[in-house]
Amino acid sequence: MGTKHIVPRAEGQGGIGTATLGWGELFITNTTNDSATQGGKLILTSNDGDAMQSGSRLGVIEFKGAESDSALVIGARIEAICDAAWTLSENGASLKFFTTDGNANESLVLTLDSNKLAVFTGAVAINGNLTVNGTQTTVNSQTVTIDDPVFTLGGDTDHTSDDNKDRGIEFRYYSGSAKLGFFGWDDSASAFTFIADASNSGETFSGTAGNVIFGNITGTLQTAAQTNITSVGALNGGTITSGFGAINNGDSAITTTGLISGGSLDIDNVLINGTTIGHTDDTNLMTLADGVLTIAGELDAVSLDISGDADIDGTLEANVITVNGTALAEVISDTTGAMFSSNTETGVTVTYQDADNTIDVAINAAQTTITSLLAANIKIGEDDQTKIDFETADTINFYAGNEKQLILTDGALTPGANNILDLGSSSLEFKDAFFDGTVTADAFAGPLTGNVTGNASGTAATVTGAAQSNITSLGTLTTLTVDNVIINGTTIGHTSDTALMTLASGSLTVAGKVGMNVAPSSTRTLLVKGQGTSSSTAPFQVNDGNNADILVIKDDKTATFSGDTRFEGDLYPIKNNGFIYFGSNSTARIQHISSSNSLAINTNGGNVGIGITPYTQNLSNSVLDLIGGAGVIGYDKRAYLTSNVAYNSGWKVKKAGYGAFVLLGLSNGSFGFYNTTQGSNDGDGVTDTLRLGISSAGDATFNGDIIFSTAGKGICLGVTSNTDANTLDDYEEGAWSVNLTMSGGSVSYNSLSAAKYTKVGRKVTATGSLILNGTSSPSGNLGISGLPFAAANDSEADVASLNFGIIRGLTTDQPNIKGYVNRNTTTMTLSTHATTAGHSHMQANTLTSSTFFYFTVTYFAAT
Amino acid sequence: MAITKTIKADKIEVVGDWNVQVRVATIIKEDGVELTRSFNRHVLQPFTSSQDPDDNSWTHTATDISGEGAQVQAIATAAWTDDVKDAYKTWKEA
Repeated sequence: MGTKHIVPRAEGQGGIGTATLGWGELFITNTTNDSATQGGKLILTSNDGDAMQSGSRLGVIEFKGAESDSALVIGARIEAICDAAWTLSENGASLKFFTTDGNANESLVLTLDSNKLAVFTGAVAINGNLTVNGTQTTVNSQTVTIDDPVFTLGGDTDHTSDDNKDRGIEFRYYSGSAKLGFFGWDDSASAFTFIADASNSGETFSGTAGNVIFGNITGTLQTAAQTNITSVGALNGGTITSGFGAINNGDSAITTTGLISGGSLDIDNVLINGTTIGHTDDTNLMTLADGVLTIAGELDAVSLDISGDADIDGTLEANVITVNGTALAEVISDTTGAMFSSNTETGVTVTYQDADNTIDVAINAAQTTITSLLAANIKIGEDDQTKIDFETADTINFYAGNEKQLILTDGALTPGANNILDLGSSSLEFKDAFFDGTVTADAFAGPLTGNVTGNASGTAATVTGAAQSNITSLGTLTTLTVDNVIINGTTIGHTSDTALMTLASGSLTVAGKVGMNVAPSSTRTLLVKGQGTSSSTAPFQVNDGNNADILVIKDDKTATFSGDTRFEGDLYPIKNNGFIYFGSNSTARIQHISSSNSLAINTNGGNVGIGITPYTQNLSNSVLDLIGGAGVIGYDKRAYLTSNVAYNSGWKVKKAGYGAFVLLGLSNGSFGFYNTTQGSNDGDGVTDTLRLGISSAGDATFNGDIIFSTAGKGICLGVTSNTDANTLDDYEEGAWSVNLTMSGGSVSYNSLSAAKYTKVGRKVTATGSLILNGTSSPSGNLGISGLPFAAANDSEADVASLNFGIIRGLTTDQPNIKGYVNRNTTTMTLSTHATTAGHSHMQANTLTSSTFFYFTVTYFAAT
Repeated sequence: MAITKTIKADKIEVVGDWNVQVRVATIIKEDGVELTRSFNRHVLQPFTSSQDPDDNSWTHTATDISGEGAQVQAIATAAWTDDVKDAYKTWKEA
């Protein structure tokens, strides 16, 4: 390089040409022959005195042109840019190539960075060959086309050694997870393979062979097990070996003119194996040998034609068997018929009728060689109506005229039924009869001659002979019946009432009705008829042990009792105006006055005492005296009831068995109602308690509740008759459920909240305590609900006063809280009263969870 | 000795046109003999009514009487005819 330079006055100042006055050409020539420095050099330097920073521009070459007469614009540019801040050990830089499009938009086209990486931002067209000598080529484009019909993998030169790597295409896809597939040359198998889910280990792929869809395949299938080949067309040539597996040709036929040998031929359940044909359950059912077929089971055929002999060791069963064209049955009948026809037995003749194949057996009428006919149920006789029948075990039954006449059993010869068979007849009599036992008969006919010895027993027979000359002794008769009178044991009776009279020692009991001097009444047990009118002739008389009269009843309808008379039942003197007399002179008597159905007690001047002998009281002119001095009824037509008990001459009216009584006529002019309990303070054994007393002044004292049994009744005060306004007719105490009302939100109450009421007439006084323990945005007008009675539907309710004992826990002070009852409701409205500005509703938003009210309200209910 | 407690509505009155006054008695008995009887009262009306302060419209919500005894329900149902209900609304909104 020469030593002559054009330099600026100072570093970085000046230029060669300007933007408007440029040089036409720049020629740089280096004549140095030094390989290190030779060649022209254009040096662009950036030197501001500081180290270069990342992105600092080292230099730029701009290519400009004129768009118009004067304007110059950049068409292309080359820049050198620092890749990082420069240091003494780092000064990397990139070279960037920019171009502009038709709209003067500049674009970075190529970057050559400090790492030797060339990055094209647009497409790259290589018109010549492309050789990539690096170790990795990555193509991230979406579409790759290669004109070369042969894509060579594994290098561009022949291999001289086996690298044991597979050749082919590896591809990625996703199927449930990221997958890696491969198809290509399997180096280890020396075969083309496809692996859908492959593993790549040093470019050697492994995995299960995947499915492949082909058109026609030419070649040899070497894999032993083919799961399914649905159609292969014709197999022509080669062999099917044992490893082939099953042949399933569906409905197609298998045709062969050759032999099927080896193993067995199984067609469904039929097996042909060697010399046997059988069923899968009986493989040796048929055995074939030269000229012999052996069937080990049953031969079931529509027809069977055997040209030779048949050797049947078992049973031959046939619907029809013929012998030389003749039915077997005919052959047998002819043979056996000949056998029967030639018989020589005695008493029987057998003839074979060839016309109808029957054998006639004729038994001779007279059999002389039968020695025994023994059989159960055997019958011998004329017919089934007249026979000897052994139908019953150990019994011989004789039938005649279709009726069992006689039965012979072990130890008895009896008729076939009761009273149907005579023994002999008037013309055919038995001769003598000999009996070692008893003869029993309903009757004996004919003369009974000779002595009858021994005791007669059984049912007495009727002696028809009217005159029995003499019955000397009958001994003791258990029962004697004379016409309808029966004497039996201790009873005498009628055939319809055998126990009418019962006799015992010293007594006779008649179980029916008795009539004395008269026929018995159908309704009266004892009927006595007589006409005597004196004691000696009275038809009915009862005497005592001394023959003195106790009761005499005469036919004048009088009955006289001589002693005290006591009737356990009722006494009915039925004579009109009849008397019951007392005393020997019959001066005292009680008479029934039939016309008035009343009783007249006639004492003939004497008096009557009830429970007491008369004339004991101080009223000597009394006609009726009561026991205990209780009082008398005097001739002055007054009843004087007196008492000597502790109540000072009062009279007690008391129902027996009940404790309550009324005491009248006390000495002070009052009377009282009492009830009693067990005790004693007045000598009558009970303690008396005054429940209601009315003094002589009219004051009433109650010792208990006053209960009105009718609603609407009460105590009338200040009036002399019942008027609603003066009647106290209702009183009630109880509890009610008090709640606050508001239009929005809610509150909750402490369990100590409670409310009570007392109602007197229509006036209700209610108290309540409302103790809050929670609020939920209460809002709107505040009120109280739940009053126990609906308020009257008039202005009475409006003026009802609601007074608070205490109110506390509000959000703000509320002036003068009052309230009133809403008419015809059970609610109250709360209000805050200002002294001059009227009132306004109290608002629920003043409540807090610690608010509580104690209040009292008095108002009038509707009723 | 058997103590029994019985709670029943022993007095049900229809007061006015629609007020059903119910007195519930709690009765304590020993061996069938009444020892004490206490009352708790409440009054039923056919609706619970409220007025919207903004537009002054009324909302009438029918009173739920399902918790009442059969007698109370029967009497309330009989008393609260449609005419009575209408009258109550009219009265309430007056």
